[in-house]
Amino acid sequence: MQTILQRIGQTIPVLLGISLIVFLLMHLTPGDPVETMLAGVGHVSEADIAAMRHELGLDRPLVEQYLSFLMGLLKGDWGTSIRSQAPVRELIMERLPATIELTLAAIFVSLLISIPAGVLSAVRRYSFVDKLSTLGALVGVSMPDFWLGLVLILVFSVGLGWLPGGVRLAFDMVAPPAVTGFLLIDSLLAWNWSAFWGALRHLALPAIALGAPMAALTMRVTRSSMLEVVRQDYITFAKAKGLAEWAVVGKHALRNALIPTITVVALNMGVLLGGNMIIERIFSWPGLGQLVVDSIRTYDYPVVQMAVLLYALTYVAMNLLADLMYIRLNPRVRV
Amino acid sequence: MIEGERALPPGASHDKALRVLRRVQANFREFWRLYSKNRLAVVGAVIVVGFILMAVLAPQVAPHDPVRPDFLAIRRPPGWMDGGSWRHPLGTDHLGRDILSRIIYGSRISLVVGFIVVFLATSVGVVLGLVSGYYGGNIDAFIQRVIDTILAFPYLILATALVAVMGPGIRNMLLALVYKEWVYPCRVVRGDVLVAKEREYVEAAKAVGAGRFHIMFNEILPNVLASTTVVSTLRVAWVILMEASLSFLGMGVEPPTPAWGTMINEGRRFINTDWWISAFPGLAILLTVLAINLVGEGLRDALDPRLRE
Amino acid sequence: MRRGVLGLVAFLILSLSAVGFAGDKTLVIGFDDDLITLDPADFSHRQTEAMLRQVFEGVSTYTPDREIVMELAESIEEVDSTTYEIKVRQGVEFHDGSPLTAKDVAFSINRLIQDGAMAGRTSQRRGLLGPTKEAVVVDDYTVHVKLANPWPLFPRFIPWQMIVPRSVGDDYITKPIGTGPFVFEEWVRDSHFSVTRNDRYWGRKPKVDRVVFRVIGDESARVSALRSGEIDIATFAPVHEIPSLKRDPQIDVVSVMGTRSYFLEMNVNKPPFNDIRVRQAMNYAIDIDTAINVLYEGQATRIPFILSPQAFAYHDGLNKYEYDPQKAKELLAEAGYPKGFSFELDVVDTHRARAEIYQAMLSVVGIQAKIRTWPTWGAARDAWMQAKGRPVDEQRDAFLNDWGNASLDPFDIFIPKFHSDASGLGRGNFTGYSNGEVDELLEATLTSASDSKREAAFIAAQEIVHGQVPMVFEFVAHEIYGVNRRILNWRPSPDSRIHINLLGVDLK
Repeated sequence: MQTILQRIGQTIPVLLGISLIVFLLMHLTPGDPVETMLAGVGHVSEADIAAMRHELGLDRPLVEQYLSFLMGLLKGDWGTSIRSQAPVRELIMERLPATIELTLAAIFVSLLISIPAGVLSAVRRYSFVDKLSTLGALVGVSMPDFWLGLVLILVFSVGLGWLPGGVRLAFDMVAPPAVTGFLLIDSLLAWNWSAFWGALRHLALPAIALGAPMAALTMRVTRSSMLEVVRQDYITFAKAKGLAEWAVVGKHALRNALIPTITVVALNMGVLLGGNMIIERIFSWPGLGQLVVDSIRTYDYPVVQMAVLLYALTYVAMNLLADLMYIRLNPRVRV
Repeated sequence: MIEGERALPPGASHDKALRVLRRVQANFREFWRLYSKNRLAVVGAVIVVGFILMAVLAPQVAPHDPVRPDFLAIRRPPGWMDGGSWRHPLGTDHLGRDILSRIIYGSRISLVVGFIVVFLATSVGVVLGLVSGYYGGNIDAFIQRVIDTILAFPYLILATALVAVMGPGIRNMLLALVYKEWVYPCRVVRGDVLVAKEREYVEAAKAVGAGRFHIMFNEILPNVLASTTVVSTLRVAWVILMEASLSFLGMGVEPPTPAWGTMINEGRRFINTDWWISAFPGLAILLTVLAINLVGEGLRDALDPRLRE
Repeated sequence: MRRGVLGLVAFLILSLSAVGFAGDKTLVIGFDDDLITLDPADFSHRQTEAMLRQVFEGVSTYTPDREIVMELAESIEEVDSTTYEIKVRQGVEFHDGSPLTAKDVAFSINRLIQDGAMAGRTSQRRGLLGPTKEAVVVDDYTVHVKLANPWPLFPRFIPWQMIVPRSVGDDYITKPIGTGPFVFEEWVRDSHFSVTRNDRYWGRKPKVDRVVFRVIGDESARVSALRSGEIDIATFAPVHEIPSLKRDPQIDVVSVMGTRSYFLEMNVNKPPFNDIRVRQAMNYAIDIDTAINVLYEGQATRIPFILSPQAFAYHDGLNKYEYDPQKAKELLAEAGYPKGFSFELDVVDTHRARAEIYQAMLSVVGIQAKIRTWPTWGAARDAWMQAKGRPVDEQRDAFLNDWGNASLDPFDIFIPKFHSDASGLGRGNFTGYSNGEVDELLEATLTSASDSKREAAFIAAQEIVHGQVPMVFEFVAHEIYGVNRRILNWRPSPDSRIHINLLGVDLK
């Protein structure tokens, strides 16, 4: 229990550090952040600049600004986008479901590839399959995800015409009413099969492009933890009892090897979240990643700040979760 | 090998130098014996050396000027395709520039960024890692929380935001990547130091009254270099991927300097019609990064058997 | 296994019978950019205009042939040199059922010109109304527009403004209610903007039931969507896709000369560009015709100055610089740069390729252009404006720029680019060009009542500015549209507006 509290306690300075970096991002800009921010807006007068400076609180001391930034965060006041004048919270919330849907699909794809491959190479250690999947994993981590995305579009969309190479739904299709924002769920709720099928097809290529590097990472972990588990006594015992090899693997080994695999997925959330930026751009996916890139390019700092904050918090939460899971499963561990 | 890398004391005799040289040779032979067991690692090393030579000798190797447009050869397909010619083996881009030559020159950016960023990051990371691991206590806690904080930002997002804030250019790109990259060697070194601290040789050095700095840099550092080398090599591969991603997002070096990520980004417009503009630079990235990863794995096998699964 | 197959069959049957597709006559247009706002007074952005114009109307409007026709006005007459009378059409209703009267028209015009009229914000479109001072209601269907000084361009610029109901009050418009042939349905940011047929429209009723503007920023994706039949019109199709689009029996490729002029601006106050010979050398060293072929496969028209050949007061007697690198070298030598020089060329990221071509051309005569890319036009503009007040050696060198001129009147391109007052009339003057005579000629065109006098002044001013070569003058690019053959009667408009009801667009 104390370990758990200690672990949670460690996140507090990290959270403060994150908020400080996010806050300072705007102040790192050489020159005047307000003028830079207003650059894309059009006709700007001195009065507009002064008003904006005041609105952003830039006329106050830095410490005071930081504190009010923190207070704003706690109160749920996320500011207003400079580019679109819309509340940042609204912009992010609009984009969030698309990104979560894609990320979950990518995790699904990566587990779909990595678990069978990892199990197979552990059970048939040093076989051809093992070597092939080890090399495959190495290629997977060495491949630029944006290039993989382009190649997938080139082959399956431009070349073969099997799968769509962008956006969430065909342009001539009416999206089901947005209840959850997740197209797959919304189309099921609306009993709209063609939308469901369309959304699924649109999800395929980006999910593969985003999930492949992750699959490469998790495959190795599945393999090595399977090896460890397979070596353990109870497995040998089960085998000795005469249980078929696959039954042993399926029932005992896999169950125990899954935990490290899932932990690795959680710990590598950063790879997925960072990959989102690129993959969403290539597949014109209307998610948070594209919003961040666009906002960075147009110096829309209020949006950048909140989106980056959200990414960092997700990462911290996933890490905490993975650690807590680990502590729970191995009570002897001291962090 | 590791000990051989330590500089000789100023007053060392000729004999001693010779002895050290022999030991280096012997160590190297041992190292190569272990390394070459992994045949893929040897292939990787050959490819990496090939790319380095290509980068250094770019003006001699490249068949064309990589930045000069040829307005009479716009978007020509690769040599083996209809309409292509072997004058441009991998075809030309939207301005008629030879893709092969641009890939050859582009290796300069990737390798320079990869190695310089990792070198700088490792220098910072090793020192902070030593301090963090050796001193422990509040200093350690502070450095570790800073690392946790930096780790919380997805790599590419932090780098993109920093480049956007600082402006484009290779110097800013290097800085943006180092900001995040130092934490990885730092963590590895710290872990090794924690182990090394308990070893006899450190106790022995303490017993004879050696100072902290002496112990950290002369006793512990040589013993953590092996794992640092392995980790740093693998990090080079990652940094090259990140450089390509930044260039792909238009946050890389300024035109017309060819960079692989930039080439893919420019070729993306032509994906429906002229696939080769973006396909080949991607292959170059894949090959380089894969080769460096293979070398990293080979080094791990040879230098640091502990790190094997 | 058997269950799997059955499930799949059931699934396929369900998908075929589902009603996921839009109604019968839905026109889907693939757009390169999203709307910025739903408020018709708060943008300066062609895509926003094209979409909002389906819902809102002006007192008058431009046709694709650039003729002015009355829309919500029955007539617009000059009462005296500073007053125009608008007779408002009777029997028109807004989409919320309220009748259109003179009060709405006057309200809409005043909303554009008054400070802070939109919940504290001031309209960005005010500049398009020149010296317009106030709109007053005379009777239920008559409005008088007062001008601060004579401005004969009023009838030509009022078509760019849209009429909103006065019930808007001080608010910012977030739900568009207009009088147009289509009623606003929904806007999903970065996805689509859709409108449906207005069955109570005062004029000819639309032939299509619904129009969806799809935001597809990626040009390859836009063309792919056109090929697969998901969209009916793809705007701004890239030239390199034209050959394959033309091979497609379902698709027509149509183009129209755009209204955006391209040029390379040189800071005429900063060495070496303060020497006219250097600026001439730049013009001789850059081969515009080749650039047009490489970048646009010929789909652009070279211009000798910044005005489009279609623009009012276009001067067709000005010479275009023929590509002559030898002459450029001679001029550079005369100016004291026999080995050339190096300078920094600012460019917006999307125009990288153009910059790289010119860079290569300039290097032939020894001029080294160092390209500095900016993520957005605004960022580059800002860098120029900030540097302007500083000593000349800290100012920027050159900007590979462009300027839209949807009105095709020199009023909103020539004056902002070359009037010397950079904080006022010359709001787009980046070159630092300043010439008292030109200022006078340009100011005279603002108040002159006769077309011939305005034309003469613009022609005279063009000759002076052209002679001093503050820019490398480039071209006007054509806008290319891919259109599905099932679309009837549609054709593009030079101002990038999408006319649907005006042209009687229908689906086969």
